Amino acid sequence: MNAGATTVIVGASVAGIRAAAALRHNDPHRRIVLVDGEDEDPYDKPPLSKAVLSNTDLPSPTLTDHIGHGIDYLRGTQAVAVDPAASTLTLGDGSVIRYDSAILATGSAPRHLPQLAGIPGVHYLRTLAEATALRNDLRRRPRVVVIGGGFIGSEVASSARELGLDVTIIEAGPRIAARVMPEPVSHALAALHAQHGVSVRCGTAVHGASYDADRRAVELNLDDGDTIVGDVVVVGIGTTPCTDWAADSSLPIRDGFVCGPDLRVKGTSNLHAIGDVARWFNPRYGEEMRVEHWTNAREHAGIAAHNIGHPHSPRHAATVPFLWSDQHGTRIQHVGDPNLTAVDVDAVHLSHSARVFTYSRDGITVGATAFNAQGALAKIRKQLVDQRAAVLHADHIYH
Amino acid sequence: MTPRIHIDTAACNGYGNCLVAAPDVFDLDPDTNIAFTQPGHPTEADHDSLREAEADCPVRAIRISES
Repeated sequence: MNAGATTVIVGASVAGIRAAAALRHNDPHRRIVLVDGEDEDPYDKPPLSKAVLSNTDLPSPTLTDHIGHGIDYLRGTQAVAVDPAASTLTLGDGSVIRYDSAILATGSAPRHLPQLAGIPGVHYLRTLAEATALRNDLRRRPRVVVIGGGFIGSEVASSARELGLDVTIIEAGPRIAARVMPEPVSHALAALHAQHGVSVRCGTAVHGASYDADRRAVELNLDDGDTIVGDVVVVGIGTTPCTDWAADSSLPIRDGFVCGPDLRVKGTSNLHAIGDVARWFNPRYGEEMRVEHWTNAREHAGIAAHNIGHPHSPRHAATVPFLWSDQHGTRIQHVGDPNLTAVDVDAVHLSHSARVFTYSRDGITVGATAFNAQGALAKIRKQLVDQRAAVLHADHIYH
Repeated sequence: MTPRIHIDTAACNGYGNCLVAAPDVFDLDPDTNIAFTQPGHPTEADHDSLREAEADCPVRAIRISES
């Protein structure tokens, strides 16, 4: 049907790789070009803050079994511009690819702390190379300071404790995980850290830093007047979507590429954005959102691949956000409404280590967080995904 | 051809993506948090959702083969 058509995919993390595999599955003849700035075989990112740090025997978390099948993978190749009117992608070496359809899956990158610019021993975590560098530094058995009490920071803290290191988390907000979790869950997460010997300091920010070359240590000056010394400093204060490379295009960018419910970038007919970099209208919730998690990237990939093959019967991305985290041997899973303000929280202990926080609004379940209770969470997730009526209703409003 | 489903129970970590992809086929044991297939045989019609479940597993604990 589209024999010989070219689809170019920018970004070879889970979103891009899964999109390539789904496109190939749907259409054996399409030319698929996958472009990624990193000079690595494709790999999976969730293990980077977990097993890759604490388990040195582990092989790299590869995604290569998804490529092949006639997919042209251009690694170490930066996309530097996209021209939606001409349907072309320009690469770092100046070459130009003409596409019939394109998928932007460039992900997100850690926000940097300007106070720490140029200071040695400071790590950010996004790529396999960065995870490997952090792991090597952690093997010096140092004092570790994690700046930012979100999930990435907490996972790094947990991995470092597993290695027996001395770990402190500095969180500028009043509690950890405040951006994504209601207060009782933040407290439970803090308690988990306390039980496992991680020191958590909330309500204070880093306002300056210096490097002591003799001791090979970083001295951090905190807002509360205190100073804390770390041999390794890891910053996890959130991410920003990687859209800068396309800033000169006419594409709508507002904290991500702005997309409709079918993940098509607004104002274009043949460009989709998926995963972390997509700010799309989620018809289930009747609002625009951007979600930075594996399952979202994965779901977006299948939808965009379908929509490229079926432009007249597109699917909408009515996804229910779902994420997981592993901290101190506890599996944490979270599902549902990304906007957890004004929810009622109901906490149930299923056993000593297993519990479920359920969130409701006007008596209707909108989300849940589980600690070591995957079976219970899966049931709630299934129930939320099945709320089809709400989805169709919101679809109707959008059009 | 009937798809055969193999679950690597040692690898399974209870993400539950499989039972969202193919709710008629997979479930999670509430005690062990390990995925299992529900009684009854998957049919041809389930094929795409089974492939989804396979691809959706973060630890690749599911393999679908044809027999």
